[in-house]
Amino acid sequence: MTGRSGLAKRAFVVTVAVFLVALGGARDSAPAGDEIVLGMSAAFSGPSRGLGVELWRGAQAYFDAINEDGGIDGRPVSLRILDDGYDPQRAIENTRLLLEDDDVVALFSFVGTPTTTRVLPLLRLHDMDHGRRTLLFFPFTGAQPLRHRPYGDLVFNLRASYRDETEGLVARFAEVGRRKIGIFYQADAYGRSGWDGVRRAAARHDAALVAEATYRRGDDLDGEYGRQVEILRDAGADAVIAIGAYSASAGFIRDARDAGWDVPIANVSFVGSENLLSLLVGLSEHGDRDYTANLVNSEVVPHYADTSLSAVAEYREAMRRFDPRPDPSVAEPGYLPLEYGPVSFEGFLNAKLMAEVLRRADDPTEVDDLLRAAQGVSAVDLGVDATVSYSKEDHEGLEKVYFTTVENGRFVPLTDWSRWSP
Amino acid sequence: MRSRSKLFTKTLVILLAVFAVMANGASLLFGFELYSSLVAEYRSKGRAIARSIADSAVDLLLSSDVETLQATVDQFNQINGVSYVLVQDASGVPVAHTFVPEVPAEVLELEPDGRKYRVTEIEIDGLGDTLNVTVPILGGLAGDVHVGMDSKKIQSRIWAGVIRMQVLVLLILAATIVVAIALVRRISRPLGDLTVHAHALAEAGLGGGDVPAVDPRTLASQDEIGDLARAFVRMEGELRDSAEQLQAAAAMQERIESELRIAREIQTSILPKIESALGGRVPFEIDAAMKPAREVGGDFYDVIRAGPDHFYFAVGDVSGKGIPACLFMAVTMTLLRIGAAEVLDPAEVLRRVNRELSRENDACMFVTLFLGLIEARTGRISYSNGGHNPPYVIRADGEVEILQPDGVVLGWSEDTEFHSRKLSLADGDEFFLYTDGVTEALDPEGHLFSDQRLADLLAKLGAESATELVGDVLNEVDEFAANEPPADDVTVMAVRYGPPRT
Repeated sequence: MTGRSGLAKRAFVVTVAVFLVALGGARDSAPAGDEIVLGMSAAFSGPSRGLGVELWRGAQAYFDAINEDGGIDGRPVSLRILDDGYDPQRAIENTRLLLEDDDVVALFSFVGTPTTTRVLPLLRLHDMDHGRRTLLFFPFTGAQPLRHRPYGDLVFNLRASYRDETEGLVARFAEVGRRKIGIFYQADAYGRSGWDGVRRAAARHDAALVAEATYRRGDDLDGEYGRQVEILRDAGADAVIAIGAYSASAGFIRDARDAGWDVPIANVSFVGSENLLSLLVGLSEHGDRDYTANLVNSEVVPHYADTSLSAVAEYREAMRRFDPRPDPSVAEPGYLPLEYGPVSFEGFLNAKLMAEVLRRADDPTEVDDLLRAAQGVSAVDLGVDATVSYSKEDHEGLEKVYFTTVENGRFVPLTDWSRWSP
Repeated sequence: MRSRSKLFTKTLVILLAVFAVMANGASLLFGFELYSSLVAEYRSKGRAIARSIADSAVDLLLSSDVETLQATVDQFNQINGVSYVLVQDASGVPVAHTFVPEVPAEVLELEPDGRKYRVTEIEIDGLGDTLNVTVPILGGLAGDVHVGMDSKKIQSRIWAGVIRMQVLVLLILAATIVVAIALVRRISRPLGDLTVHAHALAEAGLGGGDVPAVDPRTLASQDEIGDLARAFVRMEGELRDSAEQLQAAAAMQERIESELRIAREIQTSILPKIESALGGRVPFEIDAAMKPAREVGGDFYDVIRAGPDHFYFAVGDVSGKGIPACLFMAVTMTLLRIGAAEVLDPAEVLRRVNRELSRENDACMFVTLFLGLIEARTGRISYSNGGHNPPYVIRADGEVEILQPDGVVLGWSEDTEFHSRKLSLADGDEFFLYTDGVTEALDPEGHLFSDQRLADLLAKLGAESATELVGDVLNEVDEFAANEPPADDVTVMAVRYGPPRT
């Protein structure tokens, strides 16, 4: 910012202030219309807080970058964040608060399936009762209810669905001859969504869902998962797909490996692969076992280290420059943010597309304009290896699924699955 | 205090017993009622939940929206008492459930019952006793909903309820005991107070001594204890009053007794010593005796020497009793002696005595009086009777004569006229005088001694001397009255002419 523009801004503020005083001080505060406010309810506490924090960090880094350049048509974008701790009830309460806040123009990057699926009816109700439609942009979940009737019209998705992810995983495992799939999943809507995806994919690829075992949402690394390992192993599963949160998945992987079961275990994007990895690396350091072996992850964004993609370079630059930290009054302290990761990269991409939509809208505070702008998104290149297009009926953005595995303690793109041929 | 601890113990034991019965009975009933209602509640709750899930599951199953179905199921699983929810599709595959880590075989094995809902009690490994409610979706065509209601919760709620109940009962018991102690104290303190008072009273006696007063709070109390205390104090007052009256009466009696004693002494001392009255040897014999009644009757006799050869003898009976009679007797005897000293005419003496007695006789007393005058040398007797019992003459040959009743009592009227009459005693003849104390003596059955008995007695006695005659008659009267003290004075006098038989 140059001294001249700062001076001009100051002069403007003074002028406005004098004008307002002259009017008799009719308004107590300056108009909030300057800012474009997005509401975000996510896990900033509890065993899944890494997801909320990282997603927000990526998005905030992007908004910081564009706000530095004057925001959207001179209006800065800000995120109003509320912590739901991955608890559906709190997510509902947070959403109510955000819906009642006149400043909030749209909801953005909610985290989790059980939370977000419960919020959808609230959006519909708010639309019907108050005639005020509020759109939810780019939730961090691949569950189906966000993608079809009766709520799909209220949601725009960027990421691929869990069906896409599980379809990819099952197809790859089937290709290398692992057709007896066991599933470890969270006993809720998220787990059920993955379970349903695996089941459908298995039917398509001549594979079988031979066993399933659940765990309770909120269970973390301290939990016991031996029984679940036993159930899947006894059923003869030769590949396991885990639909969990990272701390529970890490616990399951630990107990499976401790039981001497080295079957490939695949996790989906929601696990936040870097968060999962840091836990497993920590476990490996304390024991003599390598808990990072035979791991697969499906991701809905390209690898954050693939700097051949312009978005990755942009992302890394913004993360390095702004390194946003959440407000400690919202986020539970003690979480050590990751430098880079798929979740913050996804947040970054979410923000980038959001900015594009806001820019396209005639008046970003008018939901009809927002909706039209979003529906008008056509072949937008975010700087990844695919473009995004929406239409009136189609609110699906990316469909591509990427696979990674751990080598030398780092996630790397996975191309060769033959190592798991039985 | 013993009375308090007894009352207290009794009350406490009864209280405890009643409470034990009450508490256990109530707990049993309560537990049973709770169990019944909880089971019923759980059944209907489970059924309502299962029905509700089954209704919303239809659309979700048909649109393959298992995430939302799962979210729905999760919501219901948060309801208290629900231990699991399972939704199976038509082919029996669990499409949504809340089990961790897997659906137990016990639940999977449950056979759905077509179109009806069914409640099954099953025991699930790790979950325990469960009430499984199965409801078909679309009549079983689209699948089934199973809702597990936790029976353990029923048990624990019953226990919690029963324990709360027992705690409540114990609290009530404790409160009741406290109240009972206070109550028993309130009752027993005044009772104890009264007891102390009564004991002190018993030791000190009614007459006097220091007795602590009854607590005024007890007396003021408006309950039965207060009534009792007031009644006690009132009774005590009345006892004291009657004791005082008794003492006063005893004192009065004492005074009367001493007065009577004095009167008797006056009476007996006023009667003459016959021998000294005769003043020497005479050819006849006189003896008299009076047995006074407990209360002085007013009988008297007298022997007065009126000249060298003349002697008056008299027996009288004053009406009334006690001191007045005694005094009247004394006056009569004085007047009699004055009269006897002045004239040798019994009728004239009676006239004079009567005049004096009748004058100013406010008390309206009177006296019967027989006055005889014997001439020692001849044995001739002149006499006048003032309304007295007619004397007997017992001739030496044993014949008994009774004189005619005659005259009017003295003291009645100043104008009363008296007449002198004459008779003569030969050697061995006896003249017998008496008062109505003899003929009106009563035996224990209440019969009168009677004139007839006296006449018969005199006829058969055949006494050798006047003294013997007096003694025999008195003995006979005593015997008749069974030695009871006479109600009236008993007086007899005998005159025997001539030397005593030997």
